[in-house]
Amino acid sequence: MNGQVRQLQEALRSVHYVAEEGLATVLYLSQRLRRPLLLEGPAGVGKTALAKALAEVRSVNLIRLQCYEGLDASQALYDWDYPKQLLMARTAFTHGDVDQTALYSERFLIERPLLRALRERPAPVLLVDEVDRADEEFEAMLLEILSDFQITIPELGTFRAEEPPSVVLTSNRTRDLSDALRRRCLYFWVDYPSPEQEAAIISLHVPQMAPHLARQIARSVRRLRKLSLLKPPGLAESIDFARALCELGAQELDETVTRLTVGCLLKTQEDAALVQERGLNLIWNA
Amino acid sequence: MERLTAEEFGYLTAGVVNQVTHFGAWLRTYGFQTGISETLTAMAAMTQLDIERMDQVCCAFRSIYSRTPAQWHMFPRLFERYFLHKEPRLEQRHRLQPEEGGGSDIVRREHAPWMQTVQGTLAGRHPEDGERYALRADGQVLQDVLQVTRSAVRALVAPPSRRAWMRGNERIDMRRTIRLAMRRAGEPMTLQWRTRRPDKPRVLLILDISGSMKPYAPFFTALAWSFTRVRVRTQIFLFSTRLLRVTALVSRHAVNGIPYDHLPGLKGGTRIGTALKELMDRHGGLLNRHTCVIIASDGFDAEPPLQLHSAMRDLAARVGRVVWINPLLAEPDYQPTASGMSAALPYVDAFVDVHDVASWRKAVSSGALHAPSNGDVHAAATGAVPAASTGALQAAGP
Repeated sequence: MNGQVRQLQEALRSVHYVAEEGLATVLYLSQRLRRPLLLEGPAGVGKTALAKALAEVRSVNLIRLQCYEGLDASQALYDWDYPKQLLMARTAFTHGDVDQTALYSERFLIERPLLRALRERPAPVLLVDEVDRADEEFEAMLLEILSDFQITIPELGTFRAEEPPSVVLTSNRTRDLSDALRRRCLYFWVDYPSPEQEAAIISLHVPQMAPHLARQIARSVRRLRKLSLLKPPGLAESIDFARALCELGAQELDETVTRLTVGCLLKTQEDAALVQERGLNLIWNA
Repeated sequence: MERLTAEEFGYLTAGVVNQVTHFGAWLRTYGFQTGISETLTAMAAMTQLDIERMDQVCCAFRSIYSRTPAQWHMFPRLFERYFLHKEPRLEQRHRLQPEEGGGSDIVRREHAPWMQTVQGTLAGRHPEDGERYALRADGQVLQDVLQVTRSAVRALVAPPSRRAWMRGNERIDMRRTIRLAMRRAGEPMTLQWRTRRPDKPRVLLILDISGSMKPYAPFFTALAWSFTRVRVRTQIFLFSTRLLRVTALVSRHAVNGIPYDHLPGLKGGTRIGTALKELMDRHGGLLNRHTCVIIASDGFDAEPPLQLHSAMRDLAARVGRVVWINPLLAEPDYQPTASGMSAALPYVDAFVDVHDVASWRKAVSSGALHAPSNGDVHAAATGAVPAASTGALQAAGP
């Protein structure tokens, strides 16, 4: 079993995703046990990226459902193509042969992401992104899908996935998710990576960067995270910062380069002011 | 009790089942909500893993049994304790961080005031003694505060009455009407009207963290945290001598504690007027008629009253509602006669006592946070304090 976890780790690495052993193990288990994986953690640590990487590793489609307040069944599950149905009904009426069952057939069914994920072959990766932003009613609606991988359409019957999709849910904890949802999932708290891991990730994404510079960026970003900024820099910010340095042809971090590129790391005025106050050497002298 | 070891995994299947079953029950004593389904999942996970590798088993069990970050971080220690016989170790004692403004403990004790508050006597104890955190939510009341805040927000975002919608100059929304008619064979049974999308309310919570408010800091931190856990646009600010936006900080760290050095520039003293002016200058986009500003302060201000007076006048003109919560209102002999408080009161829509869960509940049920519908009639009806119109003061607390 170790071998398979390691293989998965390697495969993820080949698509530029560095997963620690714990995450790889849980991901492996979620595939084997066919359980959805709920990822929580600070913004920008690679929760969404994991689903994308998994889809790439498995060479299947990624179906993404971005949650937001007010998301409902007709946008997430399925809807009927009413204009087409009306046209069909009127045409049939003039010929005098209205077939009601034909109006509610596959022909007029609009698949939304969840239904599409259940019906698509090979089974895709379904990413339910930022599920905490959706309403509680929507969360309750997800339960049937997550536990039985089926959707009931009253006019057509129940659709059950022949091959269940790999489901990844992410949450930024803007509100607490229900226990019912949590107990259907495997849970993983994705934290910021260690400086070594982060340097490896930066090197993977920006291969032209010198290793010592990648390590320096990882250390400086770690320092910034310890400051409890309003928006601590995530991995995406580290990679952006590294790319910016490469674009500017910087061979090493110094005060001038840091001042010019600090906007890649700090995204609010308050954070910028705080770091200026503490001194930019916090970043370039790490 | 027999404990599971890596060697036993291969030979004692019944023992393994027994151990894992008991492990779930044991976890329940630590607040984990484990049931049969978790136990079954754990068994299934073991069939997929190398059971000689306890770290892998721990990792798998952790993802199965944990449901919150707190449980996630606690789990490895519990796993070790149960399966690997490792008892908890005493944590290293941390040196207390020096407080801002310097000064030794001895000096502080000499000046330690006698402080009588509604929460009891804090005799001979300086509020800054021995504290590592500027803000740390009172863990005992978090859930209760959250519950009350939820009901406050529900009332805040409740849709206006039907009369408010129908003013007689509505136009039919043809696109939506026809779209809806499609479901009914093209018959427009229900007309859809063009309506303005209701603006969502916004809450600005502005907390005074000067020394005089220290005794109430744990509760107000819990209150601020609770606003970050409900569905309303909230921004949280701290002020003493200047203003600092801390919404994300409170959301992430209020429960564990926010150390002083993470709140730069907040020095001793209170300048309410300056802080409010800073709010209007730098965060003016947050202020509109749908904004409810809640100021939590005892009103002791170091600036000339005129400064606060003009700041409050400008603020009240820009926002829908200004609520001032003052924990001292519940003190038997308290009168809001401090110059700052007197300067602010004419522009405050509701002036309430909030210092604990009960008083917060009372303030919410009195409707102090609701946007005024017609003047301040609701306040008059509910007993919340229409400070601006009548000048009368009334504590929502006991």
